[in-house]
Amino acid sequence: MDRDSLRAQFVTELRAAAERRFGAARAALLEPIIADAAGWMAEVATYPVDAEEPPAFYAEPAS
Amino acid sequence: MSLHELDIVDAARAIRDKVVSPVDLVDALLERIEALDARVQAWAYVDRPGARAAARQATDEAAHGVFRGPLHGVPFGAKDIFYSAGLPTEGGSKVMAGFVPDYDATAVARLKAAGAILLGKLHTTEFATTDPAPTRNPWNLACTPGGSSSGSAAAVAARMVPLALGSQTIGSNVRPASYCGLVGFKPTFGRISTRGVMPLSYTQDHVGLMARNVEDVALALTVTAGHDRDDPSSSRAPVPDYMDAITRRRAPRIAVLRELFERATAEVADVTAQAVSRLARAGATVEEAKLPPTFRVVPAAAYLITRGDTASIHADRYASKADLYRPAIRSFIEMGMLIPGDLYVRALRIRRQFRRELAPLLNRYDALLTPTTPGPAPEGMGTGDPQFQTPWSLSGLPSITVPCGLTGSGLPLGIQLVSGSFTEATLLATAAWCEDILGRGQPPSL
Repeated sequence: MDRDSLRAQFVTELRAAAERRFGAARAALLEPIIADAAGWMAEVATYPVDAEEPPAFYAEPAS
Repeated sequence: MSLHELDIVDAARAIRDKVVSPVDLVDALLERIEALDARVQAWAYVDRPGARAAARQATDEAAHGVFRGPLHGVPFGAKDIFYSAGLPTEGGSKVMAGFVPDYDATAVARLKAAGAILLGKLHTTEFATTDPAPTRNPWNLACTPGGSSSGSAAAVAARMVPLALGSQTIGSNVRPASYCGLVGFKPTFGRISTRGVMPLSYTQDHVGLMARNVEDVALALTVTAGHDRDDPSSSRAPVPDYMDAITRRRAPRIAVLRELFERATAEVADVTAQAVSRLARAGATVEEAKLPPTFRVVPAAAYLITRGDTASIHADRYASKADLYRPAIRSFIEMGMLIPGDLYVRALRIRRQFRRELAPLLNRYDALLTPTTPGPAPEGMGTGDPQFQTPWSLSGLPSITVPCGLTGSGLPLGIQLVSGSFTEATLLATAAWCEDILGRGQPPSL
């Protein structure tokens, strides 16, 4: 799925999740930032991450 | 020179030489706070009796030739997310109203062990996010000092204290330091313990230092850096003598990141380019370099990681006190609660990929150079744009801002220098060399 389609899907999912978790009134207050959040989520979801790249939970300080 | 103008190294030397007593120095700074803080609003809590008692003890010890460490008798302030035993620590939030910790954050404890005297707690945005502190910028009271370490930057700039602890998860230490004409430093992730610092992100929180010159930062880092067995993210990497490191300054190899100049205002790009020209004329090797492709997705990864971490950190308090949170931090937490786990982990993988792709660039140069901020401190209460700090907070790399000039309207600007993991000695030496060329930051006229 391309980034714009994915972003639209995330907007729908975030709206529904916000209503379910925080109620309609609170979800309405989150509405202005849901589009932003969905955009960032789509960026992360579509960026080509190396298949062998593990997560960095910390910035690997301990040695 | 008035006592409140003394920087850290000069104050420490004057105390050791018995030219200045800690009591006189603390009293001078308390008077300065009394005179100015109604306008600047840097301090959340000033511990007058505690600071005076510590100063009397330090003065007595000095009279007997006893010096606890290199900061004996030198006052400092701590952002109000640093635990300080017996003092209110409220993180700029009603959620934490009345909270008094029973131990010092490791960074606070290490400064005290080196002889420094805690003057009090400095205003922060709520839980170091974006709901603003009341603090104003000493260069122009209509402007923000930046945030989240708002009080830390304003207090050091206003000569109320020579050293402040701040923190940086996205852009909260280097950016306000630059907005206020200071040297602001964020070490490698894990270099300074975050134990006893109210967390925002388990994987991006850094203790920051703010002072008025690079030498002062080097001394403060020498005292605060090092492993802490009570902080699982604390590094065991050896701690060099940073004061010694800055004596070995030489013309550095610098990579200029033109992409970030292009995102800055024309005036910022121009002032920074003039500073770069001065560095090159003084002997620095200056080349242009490009950031790796992953740079494009850094803000997105940082967005997901910080919100996910913050949601986890605040989950219990949010469950019982949601209505006490201000709007921005509340939304921050709630969005974090909605981010799917697979995307959170993907963001962590992007972070690692970014670090890996950056390594060849970092290995070729002593430092990468950018404008510290896209513009000067904005008017109003918003804390400004952190986009030039986000990559280094996400990747955990050390960064520092050094003043490089003023805008036409008289607001300070800085250059930001970045280097590889645990290369603070090189970074500070490079910053000190640049400071020699560009000159130290000047005080605001308050």
